[in-house]
Amino acid sequence: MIRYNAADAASMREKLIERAKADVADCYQCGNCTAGCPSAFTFDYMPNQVMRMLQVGLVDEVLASKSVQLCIQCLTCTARCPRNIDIAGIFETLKTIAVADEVKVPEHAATFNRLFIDNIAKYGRLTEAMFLVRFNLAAMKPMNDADLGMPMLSKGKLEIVPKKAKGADEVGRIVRKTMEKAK
Amino acid sequence: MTALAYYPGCSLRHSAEEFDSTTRTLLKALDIDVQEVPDWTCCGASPAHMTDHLLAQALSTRNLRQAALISDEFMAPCPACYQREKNAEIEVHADDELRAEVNSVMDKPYTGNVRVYNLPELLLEKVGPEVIAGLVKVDLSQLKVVPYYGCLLGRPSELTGECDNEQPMRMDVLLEAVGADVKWWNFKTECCGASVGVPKKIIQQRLTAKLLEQAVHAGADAIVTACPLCHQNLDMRQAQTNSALGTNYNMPVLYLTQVMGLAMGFTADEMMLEKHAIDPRPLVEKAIAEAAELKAEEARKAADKAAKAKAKAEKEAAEAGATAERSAAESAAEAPPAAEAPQAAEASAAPVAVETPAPTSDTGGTDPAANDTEAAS
Repeated sequence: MIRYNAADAASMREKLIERAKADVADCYQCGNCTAGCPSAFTFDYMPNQVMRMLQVGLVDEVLASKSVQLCIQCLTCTARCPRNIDIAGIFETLKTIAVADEVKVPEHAATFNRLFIDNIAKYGRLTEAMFLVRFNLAAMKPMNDADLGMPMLSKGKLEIVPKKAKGADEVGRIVRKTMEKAK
Repeated sequence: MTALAYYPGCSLRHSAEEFDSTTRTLLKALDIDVQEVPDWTCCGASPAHMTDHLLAQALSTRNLRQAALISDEFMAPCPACYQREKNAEIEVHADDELRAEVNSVMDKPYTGNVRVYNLPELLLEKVGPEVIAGLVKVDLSQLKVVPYYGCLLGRPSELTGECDNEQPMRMDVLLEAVGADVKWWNFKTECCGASVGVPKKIIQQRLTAKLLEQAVHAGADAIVTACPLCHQNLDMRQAQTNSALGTNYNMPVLYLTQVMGLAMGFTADEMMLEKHAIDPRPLVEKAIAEAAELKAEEARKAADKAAKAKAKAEKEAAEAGATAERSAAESAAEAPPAAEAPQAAEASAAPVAVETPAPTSDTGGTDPAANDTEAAS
């Protein structure tokens, strides 16, 4: 049986007001966010359901949901919310909380983000081809986008030997410092 | 005027190098002096802001700090970079506490006040549609396009300065200024799924297919975008989308800069059209040829019309002269008022011309309506 948790609801609400400048209590469940969400068909809870779950304190369920991971940050929900709630901002903040709290999350979006940041921390600028190979190995999908390799190579769009940008060391330090602070 | 700080971003170095090159070419042709941000690094889009807020703002602010070395104006052609840099500009400039926190994780502090532009915004503010229209050399009136803004050029309008979240207009205005046939559609800002193109393909494929379908319905032959990520999805991944969903789209996707450049007289090679997966060259060549044909046809029609008008005037003058002579010779006392004569000649000339061409004219016909019937048949 699912029990509502007033304490969790209150602390998450405060966190979201502070970080996303959005109050989940403003949501009156009209469903506009869900109607316009282009990736909702892959979600386990619809965006308006996530809002309701946050209101009643089902925080752990939300943080471990597919919905938070597969939100593509297109900002459609934010633009269309009649209560002017920055819903995409709430989802963005939930993603960051899941990273900081080391929540075990489904799907490969978080892996994608982590490896992307590892890459720029080392090279300063994203080295696209190398990053893609590393992601595919981590996600155990070695042939992912392999069909794009040849056309991109023949059109001169692949960086074969990654180069380190001049500001790379500073980017590495920024990543280390902020991630330590986040923990 | 100091140079504008130009931020290419990671995608424009390789996978979207044609966007970088054509943007620089266009800016130069429009007399906008740009200089690359010294030692720029990745802005952190989209992973950083989904990982940690301070990380995202620090990665973006580092580039604003570097830009401040050369300018107080900054432009990123990539909407994803633009959105992150603009976000940092707004938050860091408004919040001294955040600025201090961001500065504490960077090697050197950012103390400047750099304004961030996106590409359509910059072109409209610094040059304007009238000047751009004046530079058009090639007629693109037969190039039917839909402008595709994607998520981050229009939304949220408080940040981008666009007129509306759902119906932004900057690209429309620019494309109309260079004479393209801009089709209206309701999918200008519908997401193409780029940010999950790699980790979650099905989202990207469904959204991309929907956009292609709607572009066809709108009557467009090509989609115009100003985003390297949207371009990659719609163009490079169009074959993947087709094979995954059993569709058969073959729609070229052009960059805004390429369409503007072509209109301003740059060649297909200079606009690097060969870089795209769906080759846009046949379409562009066809549209330009059609426009030239149409123009020649119009010129021919106008010349015909002028010749006919001349013939008609000559004929009328001759007939009026003859009538006047006849009436003067026959009876001076019973002569009709002189003004009636040309009217009578005109009234009788029109029905005659439809059936049998007048001897003085090549194609005959003095009535414009009769002309149209002939041209149509």
